[in-house]
Amino acid sequence: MAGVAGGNDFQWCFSQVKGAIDEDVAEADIISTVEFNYSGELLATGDKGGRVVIFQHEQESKNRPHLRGEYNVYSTFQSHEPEFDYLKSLEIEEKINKIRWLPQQNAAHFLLSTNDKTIKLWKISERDKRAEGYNLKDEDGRLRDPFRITSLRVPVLMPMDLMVEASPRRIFANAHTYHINSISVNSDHETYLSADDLRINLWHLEITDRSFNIVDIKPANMEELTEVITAAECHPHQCNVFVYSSSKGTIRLCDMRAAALCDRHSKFFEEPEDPSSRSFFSEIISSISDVKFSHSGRYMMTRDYLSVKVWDLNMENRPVETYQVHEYLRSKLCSLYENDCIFDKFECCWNGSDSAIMTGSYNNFFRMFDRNTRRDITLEASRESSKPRATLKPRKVSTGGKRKKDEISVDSLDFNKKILHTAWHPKDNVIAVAATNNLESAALIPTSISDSYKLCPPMFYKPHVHYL
Amino acid sequence: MMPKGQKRKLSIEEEASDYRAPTWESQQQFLLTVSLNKYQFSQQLREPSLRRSVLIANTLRQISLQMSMVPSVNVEVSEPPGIASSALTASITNYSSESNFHITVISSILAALDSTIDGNPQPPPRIPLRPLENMSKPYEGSVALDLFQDIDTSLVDIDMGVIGHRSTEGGHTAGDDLFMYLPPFSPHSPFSPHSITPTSQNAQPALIGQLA
Repeated sequence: MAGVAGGNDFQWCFSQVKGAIDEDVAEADIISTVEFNYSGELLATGDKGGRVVIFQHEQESKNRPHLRGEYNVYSTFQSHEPEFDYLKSLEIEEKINKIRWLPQQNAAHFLLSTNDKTIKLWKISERDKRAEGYNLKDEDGRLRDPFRITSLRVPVLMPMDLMVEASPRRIFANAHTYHINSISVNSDHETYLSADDLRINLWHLEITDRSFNIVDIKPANMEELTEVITAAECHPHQCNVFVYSSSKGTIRLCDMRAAALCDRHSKFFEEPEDPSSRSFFSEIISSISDVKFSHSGRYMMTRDYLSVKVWDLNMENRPVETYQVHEYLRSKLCSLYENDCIFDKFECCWNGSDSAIMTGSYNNFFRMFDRNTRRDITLEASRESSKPRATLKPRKVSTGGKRKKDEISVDSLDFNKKILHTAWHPKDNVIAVAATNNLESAALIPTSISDSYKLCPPMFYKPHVHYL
Repeated sequence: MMPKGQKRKLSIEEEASDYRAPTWESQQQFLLTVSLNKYQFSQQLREPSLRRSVLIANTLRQISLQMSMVPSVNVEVSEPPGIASSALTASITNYSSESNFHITVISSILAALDSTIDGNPQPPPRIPLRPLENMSKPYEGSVALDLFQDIDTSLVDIDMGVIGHRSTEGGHTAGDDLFMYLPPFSPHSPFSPHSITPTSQNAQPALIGQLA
């Protein structure tokens, strides 16, 4: 875990920066989701242009043992295209909202990717052999004249350069009227849920023409709508349990065994409001932007605008831990409402052992909290600050009074540089952070140093990802 | 951080200890204006976000409820050019009678959302026509969806030109007392692209906030 100094603390440094070096990154390249697979070997990113890029962890080579394994591009494909809904005269964005990996069952990898309306199951497979010596066609594929064939031979498999292919295996469409914000694979590995603003559907991975609606909070009269679904997730071990969060700061846990339609929750998590801090923006900042179960399945974490909360599933009336991400913004809520930043949806994630959590902030800052020691650290993900062979320096925002050296004042924070999407390797201390501003987009993959102050050199990549 | 759009008369970051103090009112007014702007703007986007709309609508509801709890308070309203000033100053009343306006706005906004999203166009709720006080009447040929007939424009201190993007059949100018609906109420709105012009059946009378 990251620490500032001393003893057995880790330090963080940049390992790789993916993405364009120059400032002119197109809007379509802005990364909109990041996700490690179950083993951590693969890292998938989705962008606003509907593309998915998968990076693979290279094994550490004997020649350069000081280098931690790098992540290199493994596959790139266009997952979603822009569509037009003719009935409603609406464009459907191709932006990838979420990617979720399926557990690996054979040599191929499977992932689900979704835009606002359609979910797709992609199969990513390797091909490193090809058959040669066909009887009916030449090596270049032309059919041979059957009368010329005088002998039979058995085709032989010959090695070839590794080719990674991505093919869409299922398309789950036309089940969501509103914008999909979450997908989550169930622990049974057969079903998954998808959630939009007002409804949650349960799918079987094999069946695309049908889904079950399990939550529907749309009021009969839309005038009465005051709350929307903001995120949903399946329990990591209990395949009948899932949670969904709302724009009013509540989380509902549902049991699919109780009823076919889970409109009535089994548990209802809400922290009572602090009356002394009530303002016009109380509801907006309580809106939950992400909910994640711990790997153990005993806790869940929610992210609202200013804080991250850890909840014990057995205690509904308040969280067990609350971490302030950027409390210095509380006095700026009016301005943040004006410039729309108050509506930003930040994600959060657990580390593999559930001992630490991470979330993003503004100015390309991201925050990590150690649940055991209660220490926290702020780091900046930006190319300017990532010199080669340097560790990331902890950053601090000065909250008033005298600003110390190296501190940054709240008013000089860049609110266009926000880290909304983060992912933590399921086993190692490797994190992926998507830093975005209006123009620039990159996925940064720092690694940690485990036992000393050795500096691991960061890797910088040429522009851009490789398109096949 | 430079906020977009509005010129602020007072520093909004100051906390008003007494809710009756002018700064509190200004803040409310300001938030109301900003919220209405935001809502309108978001409906013109290609992809309006339901979450955002609902949060803004809830905030608007809160503000208007707060305003309605404050008994008659005079609020400084600068007079807009081109609009009958006497009519406006005469119509500055206490908020309480007009708080329902906002709730109606919000309800209508959400009703319009429903009809668009689900593809079942339902006629938005209709309210009998009432003549505007001292204002010119909406044009002939416009559909009677006059939810804002009794609007007190003093509540809406919007510093902008045409709020709605619709051009109506009557071809009004900005200088007239036109009131455009903040959300256009047709089956095609609020999700329709900017460029779609309504047929005469869908044209709404316009209701515009005063210019600051």
